Amino acid sequence: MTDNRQIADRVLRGVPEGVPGEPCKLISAVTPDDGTDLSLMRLLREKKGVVSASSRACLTVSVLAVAQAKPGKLPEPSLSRVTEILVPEAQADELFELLCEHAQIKRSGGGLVFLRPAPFCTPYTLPQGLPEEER
Amino acid sequence: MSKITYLTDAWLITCVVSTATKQAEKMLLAARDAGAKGALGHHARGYGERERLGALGVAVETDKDVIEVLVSTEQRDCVFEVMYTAGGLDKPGAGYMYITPIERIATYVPASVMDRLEEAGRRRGAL
Repeated sequence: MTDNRQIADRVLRGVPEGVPGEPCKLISAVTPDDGTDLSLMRLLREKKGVVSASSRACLTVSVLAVAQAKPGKLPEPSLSRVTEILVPEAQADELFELLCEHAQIKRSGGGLVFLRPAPFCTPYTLPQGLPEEER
Repeated sequence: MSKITYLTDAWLITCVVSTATKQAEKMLLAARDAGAKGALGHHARGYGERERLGALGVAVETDKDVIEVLVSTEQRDCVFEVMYTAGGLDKPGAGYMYITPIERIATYVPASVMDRLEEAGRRRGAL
């Protein structure tokens, strides 16, 4: 219990001691449920070596749908995917722009990408020498 | 080729509420009425007031709705407050919500909206 309390105190003070890690940024990409999330994660892994990414299903109500909804009613939500990618601070801007380009964000219905701080993150690496899975 | 428009000065309001009580819909309607544009939501599992009903005092996982709403700084406090009130989060076990800062957003902004914003910016500069 004392150890846990000491760790919690260190975390509250700032960067935890004895734990490997660095300040990162969390990029969230909300994209249509058309496989864009998998394509984004594949791009990051193959081109940039970023593997700290995950995606989940969610329902979204878009700005344009809200404008068309009847008063007092919520519009019909659409199925989307949220991809969350943890990237080192130094690479954040470059990867943010790469994701926006690849996901074709600047088209109607393309979704959105946003960036937020993650003050301390532990590294995530995969074992070396494992064979690639078949697609 | 058009450039990507980046928006700053934004916040993410996240709410975790029970699915059974249908608070999420009330909170979304309140957020929309307060000016929030769009939202996203997903299911989750967690602990709540119903956990006490578990046999022998064993906690039971309850279904949760997680709602996330992106707002500007001007809207932040107003939207947060109306969502809090609409969801009845002042009652124990009703749920919780929090705000996180967003550094930058990229999304599609229609050309007509961009023109209006640029025009407003020019007018402000002329004053």
